Amino acid sequence: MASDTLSIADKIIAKPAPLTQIRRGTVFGAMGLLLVAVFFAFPIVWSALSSLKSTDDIVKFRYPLTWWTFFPPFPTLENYYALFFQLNFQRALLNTVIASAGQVIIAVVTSTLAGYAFARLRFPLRNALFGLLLVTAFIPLEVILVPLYEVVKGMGLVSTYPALFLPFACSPFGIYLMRQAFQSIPVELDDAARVDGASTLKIFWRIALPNVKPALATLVLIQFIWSWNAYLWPLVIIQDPSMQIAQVAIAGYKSVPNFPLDGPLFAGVTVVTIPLVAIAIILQRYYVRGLMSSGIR
Amino acid sequence: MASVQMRKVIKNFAGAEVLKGVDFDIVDGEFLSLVGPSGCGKSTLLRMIAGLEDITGGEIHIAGQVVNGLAAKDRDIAMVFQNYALYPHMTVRENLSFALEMRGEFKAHIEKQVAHAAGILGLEQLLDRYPRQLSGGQQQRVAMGRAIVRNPQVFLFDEPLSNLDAKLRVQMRTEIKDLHERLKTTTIYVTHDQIEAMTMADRIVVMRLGVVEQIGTPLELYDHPANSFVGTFIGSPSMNLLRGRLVGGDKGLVFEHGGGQSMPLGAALSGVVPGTGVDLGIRPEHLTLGDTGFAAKVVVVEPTGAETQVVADIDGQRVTAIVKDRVSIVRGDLIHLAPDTARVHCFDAGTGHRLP
Ligand SMILES: Nc1ncnc2c1ncn2[C@@H]1O[C@H](COP(=O)(O)OP(=O)(O)OP(=O)(O)O)[C@@H](O)[C@H]1O
Ligand SMILES: [Mg+2]
Repeated sequence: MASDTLSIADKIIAKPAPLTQIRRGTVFGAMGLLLVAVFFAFPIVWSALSSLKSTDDIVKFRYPLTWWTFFPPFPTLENYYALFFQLNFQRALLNTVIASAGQVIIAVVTSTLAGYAFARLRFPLRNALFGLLLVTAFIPLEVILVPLYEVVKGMGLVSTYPALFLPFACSPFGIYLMRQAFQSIPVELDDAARVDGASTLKIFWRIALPNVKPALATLVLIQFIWSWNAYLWPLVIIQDPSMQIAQVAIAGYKSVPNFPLDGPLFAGVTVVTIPLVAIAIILQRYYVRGLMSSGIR
Repeated sequence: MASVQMRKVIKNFAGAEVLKGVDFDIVDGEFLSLVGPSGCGKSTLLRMIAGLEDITGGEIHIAGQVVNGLAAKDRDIAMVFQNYALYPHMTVRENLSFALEMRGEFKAHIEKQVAHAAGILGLEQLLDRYPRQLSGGQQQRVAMGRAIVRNPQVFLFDEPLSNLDAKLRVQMRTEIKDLHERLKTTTIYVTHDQIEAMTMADRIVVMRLGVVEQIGTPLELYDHPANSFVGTFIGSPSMNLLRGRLVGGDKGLVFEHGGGQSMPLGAALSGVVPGTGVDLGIRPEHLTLGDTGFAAKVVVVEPTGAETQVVADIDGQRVTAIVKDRVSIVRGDLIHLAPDTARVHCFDAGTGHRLP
């Protein structure tokens, strides 16, 4: 009897306690995340709202700080009109799309192939090569900018599309990511496919690749963001204005003498942000898993 | 269908010799089981037959052809893996079709073959499901379907039932056996479960530490184990071994147990030199509870319904006896266990070899 009472008391006291703890944790966690989200979203939203103001309004309401510093008093689409009908921004956008597509495609091809080789094939110096590859991930672009320029110039590729992505065809991070993903596939699947009569390339294509979709989505996303946001390299290697990419073009709007283009600038920033947000939302259910399963987080 | 021959097959992994000259033949259409304790090289041998591991030394023949240099895909064998290795991104139908597709067969033909295999294994309802949507037993069946759909020369199984629960395992055991009876495809079946081997195989190869200890039919191994390892490995509960020595007596040989008790063996073991140290092997069902025999003290009594297992202690050595009748003995009782002297085995205490 005594033990019965005790166990009931235990149930009453002990069971709800962790529940409230979880709830409290969830609430705090959610609030923290919200704070971070607001912090990150603020400049993006501000520039999107600013793109709906005329350049004069942007300058006029900048100071002192009022609601109109943030919200457009007289919403207008004139900046977008200027962007596409006067500044020919669509050409710069097209250049960015081509550069990014090229970057994503070439990086996916090289990263999956090399990642698979490092994960599954046996060849001499495999681990040494992989270590060397990882080391190159720590060399910043700024350090190799000048020699890289000389090389690309020597190849006669200045102001061409391949110049934008060919130097970055081999992505150490991408290869690492894909190698980890391929390694997590049970070897028995390869064995089974081999017994079923598949060659190594067939196994790669039919068995390995379909099973690393999350990592592949992560790779696509990261390569896309990286090349979409590239600035320094395009600035250096693209000297023909009609071949220039959007990011550099936008920066250029700030440096037109005696002619403020702040309105179109914010419109341009907003336009180039949309694809990034879109692809992040489309791929997010994959890439979160991809990063987790590759143990990077 | 084909015969398979092992000719002094050797396998080294980074200097460590895992298979030390394995030699045996598998007859066309035979169901051969490969048993042995964990790490003895069963999977390695199977993978070498499949073409998934290089052959360090010796030769493997399939259908009379040396396959040492032949890639897995050219050997026309099918393998069922312990974890099934179903392609997770493919439906059951696609899993079954894959090998045929790799062979470049026509779509219509593939469909017919898949339907045929699915029919044999009762998979018709599951063809459009993904492996993750199947139970363990169903996955097991798909893995077998993937093997039979190709109608290969040889089936290789690597512990295919070890991930199933006990009941399903018994059921699948019967199904695999039945499948073999119907298809008559040469089968090599690796297991570390000797009951599986005993119940399914035409012949059993017992391996230990990369060496073949004995080859024979299940009952040959059971009745005439070549050494004490095979004796204790085959059979459940396993054979009792009593350490002692043989001495000459008036009426033939007498076994003298280390604990002091002795047991006349009669003429059952003629030709053995008296004085040798031996392990006397007695199967649990060849020990009878009665008034004669070894004096022993009961340790545990385990009734299973049909029979009772009695674990007793003979001067410090544990033995197991199987008694058919219901008995009313309890722990601590003094009993006598009489071996059936016509069916005891004598193994050399040093080498473990069977004495004639
Ligand atoms: N790729 C490998 N590299 C090095 N050693 C290996 C490799 N594969 C197997 N071995 C070793 O070879 C020996 C035999 O392994 P194997 O897998 O054939 O054993 P097994 O009889 O199948 O055992 P189990 O019943 O546990 O499956 C083991 O000692 C194992 O450590
Ligand atoms: Mg094994």
